Formats: sequence, C-alpha cells, structure tokens
Amino acid sequence: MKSKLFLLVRVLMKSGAGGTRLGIKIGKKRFSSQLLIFIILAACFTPMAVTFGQGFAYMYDALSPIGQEGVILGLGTGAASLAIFFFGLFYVLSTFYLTSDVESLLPLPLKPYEIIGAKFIITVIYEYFTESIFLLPLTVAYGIKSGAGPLFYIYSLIVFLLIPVVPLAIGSIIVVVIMTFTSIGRNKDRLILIGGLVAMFFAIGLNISIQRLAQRSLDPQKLIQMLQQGGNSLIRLTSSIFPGIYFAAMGLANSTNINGLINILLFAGTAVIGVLLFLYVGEHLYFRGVVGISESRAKRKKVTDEELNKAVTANSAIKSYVIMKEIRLLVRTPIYFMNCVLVNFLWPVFLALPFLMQSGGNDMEQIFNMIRSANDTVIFAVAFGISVFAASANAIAASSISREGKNLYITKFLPMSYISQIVAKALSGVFFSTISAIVIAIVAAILLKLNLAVTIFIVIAGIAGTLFISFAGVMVDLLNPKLDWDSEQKAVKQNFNVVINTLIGLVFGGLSAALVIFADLALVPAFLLITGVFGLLSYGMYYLLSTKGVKLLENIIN
Amino acid sequence: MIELTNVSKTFGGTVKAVNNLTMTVNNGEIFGFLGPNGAGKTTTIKLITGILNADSGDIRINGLDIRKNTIEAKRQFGYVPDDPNIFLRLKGVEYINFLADVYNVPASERKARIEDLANRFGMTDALGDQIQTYSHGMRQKIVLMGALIHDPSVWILDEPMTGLDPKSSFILKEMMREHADSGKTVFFSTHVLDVAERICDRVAVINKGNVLFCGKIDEMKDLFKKDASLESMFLELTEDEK
Ligand SMILES: Nc1ncnc2c1ncn2[C@@H]1O[C@H](COP(=O)(O)OP(=O)(O)OP(=O)(O)O)[C@@H](O)[C@H]1O
Ligand SMILES: [Mg+2]
Repeated sequence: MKSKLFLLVRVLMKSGAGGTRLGIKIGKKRFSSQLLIFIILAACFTPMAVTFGQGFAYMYDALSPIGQEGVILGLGTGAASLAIFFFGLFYVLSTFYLTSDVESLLPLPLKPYEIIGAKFIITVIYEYFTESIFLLPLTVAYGIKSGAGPLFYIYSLIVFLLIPVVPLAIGSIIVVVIMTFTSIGRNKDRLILIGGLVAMFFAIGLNISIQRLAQRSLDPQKLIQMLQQGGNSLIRLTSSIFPGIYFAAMGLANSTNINGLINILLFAGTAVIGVLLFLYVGEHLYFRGVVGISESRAKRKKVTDEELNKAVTANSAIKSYVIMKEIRLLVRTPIYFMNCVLVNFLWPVFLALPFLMQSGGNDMEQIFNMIRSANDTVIFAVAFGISVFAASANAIAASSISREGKNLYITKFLPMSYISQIVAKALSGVFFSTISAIVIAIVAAILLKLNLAVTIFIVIAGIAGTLFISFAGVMVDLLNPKLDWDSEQKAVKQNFNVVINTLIGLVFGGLSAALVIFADLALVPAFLLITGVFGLLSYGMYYLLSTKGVKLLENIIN
Repeated sequence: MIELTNVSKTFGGTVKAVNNLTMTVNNGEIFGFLGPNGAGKTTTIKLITGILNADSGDIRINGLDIRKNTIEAKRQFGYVPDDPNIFLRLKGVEYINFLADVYNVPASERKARIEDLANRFGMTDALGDQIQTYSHGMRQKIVLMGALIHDPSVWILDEPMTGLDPKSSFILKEMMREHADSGKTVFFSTHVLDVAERICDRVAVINKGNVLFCGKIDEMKDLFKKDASLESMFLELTEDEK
C-alpha cells in the first residue's frame, strides 16, 4: 500500500498547517502588502548576509596561509546545526503536539510515522528559510575565495538541504520521548511546560557534555601538531559541535577529490540514520504522547465563600486588563510562557554562562578583569543596549495584537477606549522587560562588581528604553497583525512583526550604546541623555499610537 | 432600545451582508432576529456592538450613537457572541471578574450577582476551573454570565440557545422574559423557530441582507392570510427571495 506520507505533506502545506514561517503567505488577497513585507525582509537581511559574507571572506584570508580555511566550513555548518537544534525544539514541540490539526488527524486511518513524518518534512522545509541567511553567504564567500568548481556548489546544495535533518531528528526524538512520559498525567498545560523545559535543559546539557568530551580529548601539543599539518586538519575539531558536521565540512573542503564525495555520502548517511531513528521512535511513541493532549484537569469543586471573596476584588479597568488578562494569559499559556516570559530570565543566564562555565581558567579571568576595568559608562551603555534588545526579543508587545487571534473582536465591544487597551498591552511588555532589565543589572553588578549608582542607572534607563520598545512593538503589530493562527506558536514565533521589532531593538539599543561610548561621555551625562532621549521617543510613539494606532485597531477585521 | 437607520455593510466590495436596514427594537420587548445561514444576522449584531463599522447609516443604543458616543453606548449592552471560546485559560470566576472590572461593577454587588447567576445556570462547581475545561454549553453559560454581570439594560445575544441543555435554555428564556417585562430590551438571533414563536414579542426575518418582515408574529399570519406555523411562513418568505 502506498504510504500517505507525501499526500499528507501536500495537504498540510496547503492548509498552512506548519505555518508559513514568518507569516508570509502568498495569496491574491493581500499580495501587495506581502510584497512590501518581502521587500522589507530583503532590505533587512541583505546587509546582514553581506556582512556575514565579508566576515567569512576575511576569515578565509586569515586561515588559508596555514592551510586551515576549511575550519570556516566546519564552524559555519556547525553553528547552523546548533541553532536549528535549539530553535527547533520548541518548534517541533508545537507542530507535533500543539497545533489544532493534530485533533483532526488523529481520527484518520494514518500511521503514527506518517503524521509525524509529514510534520517533520514541513519543519525541515521551513528551516531552509532561516538557514539560508547564514549558509548562502558562507557558500558564496568560500566558493569565490577558493575558486571552487561546480562540484563544490553541488555539494553545497546537498549539504544545505540535509543540514536541518540531523538536528531536527535529534530534537524531535528528545521531544517525543519526553512527551511520552509527561503525558501520563492530566494537566496538559503544566506538562507541556515541564516537557519544554526538560527538553531544553536536556539539550543544553547534551551540548555541554559533547563539547567537554571533545575538549578533554585534546591536549595543547596535539593541537599544535594538527595546526602544523595543514590540509584542513583542524576541521576535526569542529566535529565536536554537532554530529555529522565533520563529514559535511570535509566533503565541501575536498570537493576536488574523491575524499569529498565519500564524505558527502557519509554526511547523507548520517541524515538517513537520523531520519530512520526518528521515524522508529515516532512510530512507537508518538501516539502515546499525543492522544489526549487536549485534556486538561478540572476540579469541579464548589468555590468556597472565602475563595469567591478573594476572587471578586475590584480593580481599575486598565489594571485588570494588564494583570488579569494580558499577564495571566502570558503566564498560563505554555507557548507564551516559554517564548515571552521565560526568555527574559534566560538572557541574563546566557550572558553569565561563559563566565560561570570557565571558572578557574586564567584566560577568562584576564578578560573579566579587562571588562571590569572598562569605565562605568561603557558598562552602562552595553547593559542598556542589551536590555533594549531583550525587551524587543521577548515578543510580548510585538505579538500583543496577533495573540488575540480570533478573539480580537473582544477589544471592540468592551467599553474601554482603544488607546487604553493598546497601552495595557504595551504595559504587559514593559512589565516583563523591566524584570529582565533588573535581572540583567543585578547579574552585571555581581559579575562585574558594579557600584550601586551604575546598577540603578541601568535599571532606570532600561525602563525608558523598554517603554519605547514596547510601544513600538504594539505599533508594528497593529500595522499587520497575524490573527489567523491555529497554534499559539504562530502568533509569537512565526510572526514577522516580532522580527521587525527585534531589529528595531537591535538598532536602537546598539546605536545608542555605540554613540554614548564613542562620544566618550561621563556616566551621569550618558545616563541623562539616554533616559531623556528614550523618554521622548516613548512619548512620540505613544502619540503615534493614540492617533494612527487607534485608527488601525479600529479597522482590523477578523 | 436599539435603533438602526439605513444601515449597510459590504464585505470586500462584493458581498452585501446588510442592505439598507432600518428597524427599531423597543424597550420592554423580546425581539427575535431570524434568517437562514449567511443572511446577515451576525453581521448586523457586530455592527450594533461596534465590532464592525457600518459603511453607512446610524446605530443608536438607548439613544447613544455607537460611533460618536462609543464608550457610553458600549456600556449599555451585554453581548453574547456566537462563538463562546473566549479566554480559555482564565478560570470562570476570573473571566467574570475581569469583565466586572471593565464594566465598573461595584465590588459590593459582584459577589451576590456572580452567586446568583452561577446558581441559576448550575455553574457553581465550575467557577474555579479554567474555561478550557468546560463543555460547549458551559462555555456558552459563562459567556452569558459575563454579559449579564453589569446588569445591562440591553441584551444582545447571538444564537444564545445553541448548546444549552433544556433546563438552562428554559432558565434563559425565563430571564429574557423577566428582563423585557421590567421595561428593558432583549435582542437575539436564533434558528429555533419554535422558541421564537413562543417568546418573541416581535421578530424580523432577514435574508441576503434585506429585511423581509418585521413585526408581531400575528401580523405575519395576517400577511399570509392563514394560521400557519412560523416555520412554514419562514420557509415561504425566504424561498420567495431566490
Ligand atoms: N469577515 C467577513 N468577511 C467577508 N464576508 C463575511 C464576513 N463575515 C460574514 N461575511 C459574509 O456576510 C454574509 C452574512 O454573514 P453573517 O455571519 O452575518 O450570517 P448569519 O446570518 O449570522 O448566518 P448564520 O446563521 O450562519 O450564523 C455572508 O454572506 C458571509 O459570507
Ligand atoms: Mg451568525
């Protein structure tokens, strides 16, 4: 009997089940606005890609004299695999388990591997978009610099197509196994959350241990020996980044001889093994985890008088809107919690991680001392920049309209002005971003032994920056909200508005930090300048929201 | 009281969902809004509640223009949408309390009202659970309770009986009657003609955006010059349109 796998892929692609990655859907209806988005997208990413390309070319020039230019290939493909692996985890979790199409597929006479295989293929296809920003420049830069022949480009294409397979297969296996165990209980939301967290920590742990292992097997003498060997011997090092990457890099580096072909075949082999392993695990475990995924626990117990008294405390409309509606829904919806709330706490952890992991190493100690001796203005400016970027990356404001989805009409009949509702949405972003700014300030204060004034300055300026970014985020989301989604993942992760707002955060955070540093301002003027400027920007953005934003919200129909 | 004057709404330049509609729903009456699927009932209700903007025409609720006096007009009504899947991750009681905050319901009155509504609809045991654990009918009921928490004078209900069990449906009809009898307004759309026939003081039949009939059911019978059931008259009315 013919497998329904590919039929399913076609159907799911058509219905947009995997979600158009960045909310780009080419249809007749909104073609012009989609075209505009494409142009913006290209305008945003072209400079980025060019910069990457130049970076790779520069690295090539530096490494080729010692015959180690192939390391670039290893690092590039390795970094791409790692990124796909981490970002893929949540993506896999939501497409495999949380999209509403799961409930309509389960009653059909389909084998588990057909459902999960189809979803896997779609996930792989969507990874091509993200991947290309990074790997295209790499291929072009390396190809031109090395004067590579057509075979190099053919191998590159094969590598490009296969790269997401192994990381996603490993990620999927982790997710499927964990969901099998967590679905034994009843409280869906909490279990998904726990599943997501466990998967993430497991992934981080796995990664650290692979790298540790690789580091241990490497003594300095051997390293020097390898360096002297030339002939891209260093590629072996990068193999520790991700399974299979060694073959990809070797294959590309040796495209002119038979070694290349062998390695490319080996790389394809790892991909095939990855897929088979994944399908095997999926066939046996997927249904156990996914059946009953929409169940949730109800107590059905009479609310006591006391509980009721507590529950009915009165608040002002706007406070209630921010706390009861926006923040509660953010915290209680697993996907929002992971992508919007948790990230605020992960940033500082990520920043601190290299400091913590390398404790004892003298190299690192030296770097710290260097950072510590940097003047307060620089530290303040950098911390401010990071806070602004973190505020834009948590996606709360930039998805605040999109998250309403089919419920957007509720904003229309409530007796609350549109501007108060817009402000309430922005405030929920400000709330979590402020927490993030505080945590960043505290982490910086501890690691870099900052004094109290700098710490407080970071927080206050951070709030001003956060206010602007949150207002800007809501504005961006109002311009082109993504309301038609069947899994919350699409509202926050596959939402182009979030990308735009992150770029705004990157530009405003980075630029203002750079300006302050290069202008060589003293701490207090720098603080006053940044806080003042972002205060004004916030006000300007508020004004824009209260005029244009209100009109936009009024005219959104769904 | 709800007044619509020459209201029109076109979707995407082609689908004329509501066509030059004029009608008044008076105080003290239960007004039924009937029509086949896609007739324009939900669209009309969305225009009244401010979810959609009319292309032309005026809409007033208790004399307040929904476009000019928006916030005050919105305070006048309680609205039950046709899809009760709202804020699924809030607990029932949190949802109602959120609406109470938005509608400025005094703290002193809240508890008694919540208890009363929950009792009537048999929802006391479910209030502490998240709405996503509710059945369709229970979701319908929690939305209904939310709509009534501020004791609005105008009720606007889009197919409120769908999914309700016989008892809840009976209670709702009773409440509608009480509300109308106290001089206030009930406006609801329905496909259940038996219900409409029994409880409505007046009905409007709409098809393809046009009002085919508006008045008492007895008047419709006069029009058809026979003592037919509402069902057969409805079928005849909407058939002619084609
Ligand atoms: N958002 C929209 N965009 C485009 N057309 C719409 C939209 N909403 C409704 N329509 C169209 O307007 C017309 C009236 O729809 P409406 O939902 O008001 O019908 P209804 O009387 O409530 O039907 P039902 O009994 O099925 O609920 C239909 O032709 C429908 O296709
Ligand atoms: Mg309808």
